[in-house]
Amino acid sequence: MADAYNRTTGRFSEAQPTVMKRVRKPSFVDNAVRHAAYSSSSTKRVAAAPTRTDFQASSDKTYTLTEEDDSIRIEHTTSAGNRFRGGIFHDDDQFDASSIVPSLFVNKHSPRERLAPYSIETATKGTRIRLNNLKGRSLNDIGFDGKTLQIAQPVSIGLRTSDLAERIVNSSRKTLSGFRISAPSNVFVAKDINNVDALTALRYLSRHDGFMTKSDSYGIASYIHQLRGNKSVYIHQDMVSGGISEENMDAAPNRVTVRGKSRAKNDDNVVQVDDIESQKDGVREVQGGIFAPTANNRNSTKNIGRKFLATAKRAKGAKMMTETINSMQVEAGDVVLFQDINEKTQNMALRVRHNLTGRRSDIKVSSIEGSLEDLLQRAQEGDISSMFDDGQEENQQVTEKNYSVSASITVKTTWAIAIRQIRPEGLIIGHPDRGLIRGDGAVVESVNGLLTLGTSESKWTIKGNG
Amino acid sequence: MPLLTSGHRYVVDKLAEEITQVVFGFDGGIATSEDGGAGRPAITVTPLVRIVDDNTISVEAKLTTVDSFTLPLREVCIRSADRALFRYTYDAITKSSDTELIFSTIIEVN
Repeated sequence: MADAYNRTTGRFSEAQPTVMKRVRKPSFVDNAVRHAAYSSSSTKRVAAAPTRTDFQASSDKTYTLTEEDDSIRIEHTTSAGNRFRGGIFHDDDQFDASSIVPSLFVNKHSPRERLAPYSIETATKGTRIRLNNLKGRSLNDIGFDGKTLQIAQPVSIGLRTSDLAERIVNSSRKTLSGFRISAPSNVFVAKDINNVDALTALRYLSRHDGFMTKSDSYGIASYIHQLRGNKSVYIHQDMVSGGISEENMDAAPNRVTVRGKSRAKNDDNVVQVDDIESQKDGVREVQGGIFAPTANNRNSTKNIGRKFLATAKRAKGAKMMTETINSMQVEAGDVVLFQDINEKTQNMALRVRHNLTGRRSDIKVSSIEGSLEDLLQRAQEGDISSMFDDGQEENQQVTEKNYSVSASITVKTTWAIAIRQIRPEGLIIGHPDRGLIRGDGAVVESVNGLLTLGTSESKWTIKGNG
Repeated sequence: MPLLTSGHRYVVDKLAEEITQVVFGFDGGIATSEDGGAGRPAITVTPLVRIVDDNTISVEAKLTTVDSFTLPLREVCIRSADRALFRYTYDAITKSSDTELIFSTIIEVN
């Protein structure tokens, strides 16, 4: 194995070959990360050394901060024997206006407090770093009160999106017959997913890599690229006997505000992206913007905005092919290769209706899976994905599970009220209506009942029940 | 989740224990579950409460010839010492000194 230590520059930055020259049993390496850049060719995936200049190595060195108006001036921390007050040395250079701006400044004593620098200027003592987006507030106002800084570049360790999709599905696989991935993705996502339903989590992942989740009638879920379908079918325009109609051209948005993850106290990471080519006929902005919670720097946020606008452009113009012959095998989700006089296009079948007796099919195709409304609705699921962090973590030693059951009691009542007449004095033989001798003879009609000879009580009469 | 038979019996025992009074009254307004008790109480009697089986209670209250009222009775309310449990209304019954009145009810717990 080549020496990792570059004896010329003194850095441990030598690229390592990917294949070892001799076989040995694996050795366990704890807490190490191999950093590589993946690219894919038609036949394989290749891991290569990352571009050196894309990353700035940082160290434990600290810098003192002096707050100025919309900027900070930083100097090397002085100590016994070191009173250097010139421009800052970082990486392998001294800062000047043309240097690469560091990614983040972090409060040494409270790493959650961060500042995003905008540009570098020289100063008499130390280096001046201009900060953006302070909006007239002081550092204390935005919640940064450190006086000692470190330069940092945040790194997240994540999984390949296709692997992460598999793990998500594994946790709830009782409802699925199977899960398949057509090909591994090249995108890595570092995001904890706590207590979120699998479909939302998969749709969240698909925002990063252009994949989508599909299911078929056998209960198999697939995580495949958007442009791949179940199978390909070929349709020539001569096969379409009823004509092709294009749906009303939904005006695709050409401006979008993307809200990424705030990475510093002075950086909300909000970027507006415009598709200027289609703005000739007016600006159409996405209402409310879209949310990109894994975009933790401006480049990622811009890329997500660009990808969104590109996909939205493809989403318009769904076609309906009416009364197509020889297309009884077409199903929704298939890739339709449509040939007309001018060109061959590849579309996705969204909806298919077959006339079995006439052997004709009506097929609706679109450039992407779903309509423009689907795209917008998925992109604006920011509120749902932001609850990933709020969910209860399940990977802990003492797990809290919440169960609930219920039971009910029914109480039924059946009641009756009855009355009978009592004659405590005397008896009339023969006629129940005549008065008593030496009694007042008054008998209330409502309680009148039959008297039995020889008894002073009448029968019970039910006066109410329920 | 089914309630066990012993659970039913428990509820029946508790209910039978709680029912200690039957109130007859003059208010004939429609009985609803929001009622707080007898609208215009006339007389309170101590009922005879019997547990028929694990699911059933029988409550019986009687007014003798001693009790008579100028206004007709229209309601009856079954209650415990501190709260009303059931209320029923019926057509007016005039209770005089030459009539007896019995109110009976079966309460089932399912």
